[in-house]
Amino acid sequence: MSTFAHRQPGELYESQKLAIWYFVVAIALFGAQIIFGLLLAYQYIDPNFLYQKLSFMTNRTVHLNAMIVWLLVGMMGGVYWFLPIETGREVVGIKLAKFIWWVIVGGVGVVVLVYLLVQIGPGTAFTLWFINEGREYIEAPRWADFAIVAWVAVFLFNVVATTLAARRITGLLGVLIFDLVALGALYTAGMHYTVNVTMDQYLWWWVVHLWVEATWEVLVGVVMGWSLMYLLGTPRKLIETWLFLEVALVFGTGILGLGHHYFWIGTPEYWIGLGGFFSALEPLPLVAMVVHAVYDAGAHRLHTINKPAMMWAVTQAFGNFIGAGVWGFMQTLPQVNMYSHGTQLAAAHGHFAFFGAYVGTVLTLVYIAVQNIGKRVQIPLGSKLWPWAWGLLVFGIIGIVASFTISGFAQTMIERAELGSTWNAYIKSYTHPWYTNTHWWRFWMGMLFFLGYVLLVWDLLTIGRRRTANAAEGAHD
Amino acid sequence: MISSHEIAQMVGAIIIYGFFFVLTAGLYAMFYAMGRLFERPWLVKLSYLFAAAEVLSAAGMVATGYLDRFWVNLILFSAVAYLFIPQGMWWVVVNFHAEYEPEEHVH
Repeated sequence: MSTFAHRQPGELYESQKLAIWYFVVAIALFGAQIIFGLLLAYQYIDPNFLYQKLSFMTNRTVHLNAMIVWLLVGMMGGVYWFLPIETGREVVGIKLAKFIWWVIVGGVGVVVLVYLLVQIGPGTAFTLWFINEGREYIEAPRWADFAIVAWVAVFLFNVVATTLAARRITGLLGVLIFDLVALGALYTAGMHYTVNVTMDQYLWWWVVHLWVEATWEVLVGVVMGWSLMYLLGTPRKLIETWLFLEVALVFGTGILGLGHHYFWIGTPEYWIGLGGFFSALEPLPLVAMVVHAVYDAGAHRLHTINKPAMMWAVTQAFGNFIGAGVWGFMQTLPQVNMYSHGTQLAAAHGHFAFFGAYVGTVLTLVYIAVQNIGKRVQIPLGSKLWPWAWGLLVFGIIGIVASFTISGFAQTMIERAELGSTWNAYIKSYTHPWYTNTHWWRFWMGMLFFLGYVLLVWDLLTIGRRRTANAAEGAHD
Repeated sequence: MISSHEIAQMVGAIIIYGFFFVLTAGLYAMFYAMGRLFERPWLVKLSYLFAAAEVLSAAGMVATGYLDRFWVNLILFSAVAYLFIPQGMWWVVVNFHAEYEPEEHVH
């Protein structure tokens, strides 16, 4: 089994059926992320909007956490989709996998209800365990933290047990297993409780940077490797060699590049040099990968059986470079970061990098699954709708990022560098036209992005049906 | 003594030059690879314009005078490294594909 064992359409493994449920949840949470993002965008314009009903803080919490969960759910769905194809057998422990899926979906529902209805509690252990740990991006109560770790553990068990049962380990599976161990372990770094803010922030950044930006990047490498084998028929040896190289490059600069988050949180001064040095080198592998992406796309002339998935794969390659590389470097030097840290320039980088690296990946996986759901003839997948959905989502995110960039630039220059973060500086910065006008731009670009999402959902629901109808018509003729 | 207004100007300049520094490095890599892939020498020549823009962006960051010697050296090292990445990566890509994908169109 040197290449990919394609299964006939209509014969989905139980694991692939589970993957579809993962994708359904992912796309639903993507919608929730956008809606709460739009509420936030409007509350920047009118701070009284939904005052004391749905606060800015609550909307931001749901917006950020929905993003983390839907992207992780989507990538795990991708593994459940490809794992039986890779090993040539059903996933071991599929009942447990289905059970933990219900636990996670129920858990996410309860956590969101607590966000919306309870929000905060007294500074006691009860709040820590049952309401919120107060950690940005992963503002889950501790019971939910344990559920997430159990979720990753079951996922790891599925992968390891299936690999052992198949008596076959590929390079992709080897990388995936090691990555999942790190994925589960590094998440626990955010579960420590300490009253020392520096210590708290130090460990919290492990979750954001080493968990999200390192282990997720490797997970992306694995599922995109499978995706490229499916979409372009790229040889396994080539994919695995690239994956090893990518892991080395990402970890080479990425692990110590984490130091750029340690600049101003009370850690020793050597982090300024260490973190700055490796952060400055982080775009180098991304530039190298541009050459590879151009070669792959050009050499195959984008001839594929699944155009939307291929387009999202190309978007992933370039979006990762622009979002993480270009927007990251703008503010990574400590001399700049001292003034830009925490401004909307950081939000611009975050929006672009997550869209490029992860949204592109998950939507690639979703379209691959859509092509293979049900009893269908394996014909090229395409529609008139998907380019509009793709275009509006890409144009929307560029507009949102541009708005954040301009307002963040104004904050950095006026509020921080020139006026020294005084109260007067905040007032002057927040009333500057570069700041206030961009709120409207961001909102309208967000609306376009939402329109792109609606078209995406509509396309996902209908693209297969039209294809089936056309195939049936062709067979009838 | 440098005023806060001057610091703001220098920080702003580094942000803008930094943006173009990585962006033009990426455009250089992209057009270089496209030129080689589709055998279009004019695209390769166009890519060198972006390489020049990348070096100028690095020079712009250094010229602000805000960065000390360590950071100036780091920027200059990166600027030179970016110049060789597209060629080096092209060599790696072509050889990998030739080894594992011999039927592919490889130049």
